[in-house]
Amino acid sequence: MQMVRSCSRLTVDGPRRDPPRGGTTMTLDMVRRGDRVRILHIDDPQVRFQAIRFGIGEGADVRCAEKLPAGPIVLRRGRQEIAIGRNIARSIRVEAI
Amino acid sequence: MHGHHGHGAVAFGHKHHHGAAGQGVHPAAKRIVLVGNPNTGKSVFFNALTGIYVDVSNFPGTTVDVAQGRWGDDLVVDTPGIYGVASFNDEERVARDIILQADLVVNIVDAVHLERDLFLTQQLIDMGLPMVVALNMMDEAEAQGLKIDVRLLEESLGVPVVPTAAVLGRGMAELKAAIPHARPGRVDPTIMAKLKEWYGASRPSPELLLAAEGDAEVAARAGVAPMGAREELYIHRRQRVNDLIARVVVDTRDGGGLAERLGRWMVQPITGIPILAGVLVALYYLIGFLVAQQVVGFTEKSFMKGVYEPFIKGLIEQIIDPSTPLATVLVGEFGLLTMTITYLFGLLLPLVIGFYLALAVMEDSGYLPRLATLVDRALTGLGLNGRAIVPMILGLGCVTMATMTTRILGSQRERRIAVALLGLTIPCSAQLAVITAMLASLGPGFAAAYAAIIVTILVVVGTLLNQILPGKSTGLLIDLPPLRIPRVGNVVRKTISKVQMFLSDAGPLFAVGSVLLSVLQISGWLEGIQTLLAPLTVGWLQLPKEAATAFVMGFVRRDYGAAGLLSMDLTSMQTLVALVTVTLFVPCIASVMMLFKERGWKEAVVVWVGCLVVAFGLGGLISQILI
Repeated sequence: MQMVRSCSRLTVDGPRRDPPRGGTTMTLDMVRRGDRVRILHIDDPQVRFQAIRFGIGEGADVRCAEKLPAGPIVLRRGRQEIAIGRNIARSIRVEAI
Repeated sequence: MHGHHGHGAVAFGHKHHHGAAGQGVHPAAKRIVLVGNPNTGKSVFFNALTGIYVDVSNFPGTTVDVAQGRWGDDLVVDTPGIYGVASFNDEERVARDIILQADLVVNIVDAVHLERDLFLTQQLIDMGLPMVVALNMMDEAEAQGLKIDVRLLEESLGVPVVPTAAVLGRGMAELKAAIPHARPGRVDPTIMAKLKEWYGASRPSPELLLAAEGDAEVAARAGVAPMGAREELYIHRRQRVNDLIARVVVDTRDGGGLAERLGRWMVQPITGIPILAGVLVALYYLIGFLVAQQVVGFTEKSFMKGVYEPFIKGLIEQIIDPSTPLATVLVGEFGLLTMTITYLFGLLLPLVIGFYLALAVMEDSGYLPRLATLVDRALTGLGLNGRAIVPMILGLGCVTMATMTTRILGSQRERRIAVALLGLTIPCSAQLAVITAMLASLGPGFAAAYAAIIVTILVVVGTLLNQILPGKSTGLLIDLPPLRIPRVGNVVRKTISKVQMFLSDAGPLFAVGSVLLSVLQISGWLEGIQTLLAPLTVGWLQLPKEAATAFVMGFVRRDYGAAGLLSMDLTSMQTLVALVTVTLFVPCIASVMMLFKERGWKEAVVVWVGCLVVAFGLGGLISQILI
């Protein structure tokens, strides 16, 4: 359900283009370890502010450094590593790069 | 209790004109405030400047302690580690209020993590505060292949930037020399333009910036309207910082060192759980075996009971008739000079030292936030997130302190759950000490059974509370600082300060408890209560009548309850039942006081009564099944 919602929005260039590897949008909980993604949207304002401070706010390019089974996702940008709980990850929209 | 944990800002007053206070402060004295992200080595700078101890916490968000000291005529004030100046939590509010009174800011940044740290730096610059930046951990940055153009950074920020490696003592003299040259930096022109547009400001101002960023409290103090522009300004600042970093930092390697790999292993369950198991085994060996048996065997049995108690008893009884109540109070069974001193110094002190030493190592190494990540999934089921591991672990040290620490949790709901679980299931170090000693004599089977019972209750109660309580808990969002070898000085100092805190907190309560017990004994009420509770202890729990005394003592101080059992002649099964009951049993008087303070009387009474019902209910149930 999450996927349907996020995929139907935010496909920027034109309707119904087959998603290539880059530009596919999804929620952060769907990324796999090693994936590089761009943060598109963060729902919760508090999370959004803190993410900007950490340097992983909307527009930032990050790498999924670690993904725990059903647990947090560790994002890496430069030398910075941030662990994000699965529930928050579900509310963050990202785009594959 | 824990008085010095209070918000330091209160003690500083709200006036800028500190000289007017006239407490021997030189009129030209400045208020120098140290500001930095968590894990930047800020404490080392504080020590280097003032020579006074500061409590260092490596775990983001556990220290609200504020330390201050003197550097020459100037006052140096430390602040909790923060990622930005706002009011997202207690630490930020404390830091914000101290920063608003600063004459000069020394901003400590981690050279390895400029993306994160320079956000705060630029925010401080946008406040217009005179500032010096200590570019710390330069040694590490170099070792990791980071090249930083310090001169360009200095020029771009507009404030002096001094490269340092504080742990090695490098750059400290240069930093001290630079402090008098602190100056306001280059304020972001867009942000300055906004301040002018909204508030008619002609110069940068800390209060107006925070008001523009939506801080209602600061806006009210400054008598202006808060703006809802936080996100706009944050995004703008972030962009500026990113551009700056792109110009001054060249990364020649992309990490991949051993520390980084080890850090990954700690969070990934396949490797993280065995590592955690190893840590727990090491903890058990250190605290449960080495300290609880070897050290305490000497300090409590050989020294306190063998040498000290006979000595003090003989001495007092020469002066006071042993049959008088005063003698009973001083050197009787629960004597102030016998039991209190023996328990406090013979039994608890070595254990508390061992415990805090272990926790300090975990904090200082950066293991704790990784542990939070590892256990996040499990705690989510209890309506908590990984951060709650901090109060839980602290609870193993002191439930009173842990109850206070639940403030770091993101919502009232989480605090409610954490406080209830702490009161019910987490044995504090004082109690744990006696429990491990007793379990050690029973063998590993019983220890496992005890642990299984307590963990099951924790999971069941937590899951139930998560189902019942309305609302939603917050998720995990945590910075994983680089793993570092713990610094011996830090660890030792932190341990000493925590132990001092424990003694000054626990000591008086122990004394009060002892007197109370002696009074009960002299007046014959102790027997009365035992008889009153007899149906419960003897009939339902199937323990000797005297166990009631242990439970009564548990009211006074949790560990008295456990310690009282130590001297009783119990079968293995009885010991297990007694230990489970006393663990679940009501928290000590100090933690109950904290419970009322933090959660209000209604919730506190519910938690308290709930603990009693669950303790005796389940204790009896286990007894009925096993014995």
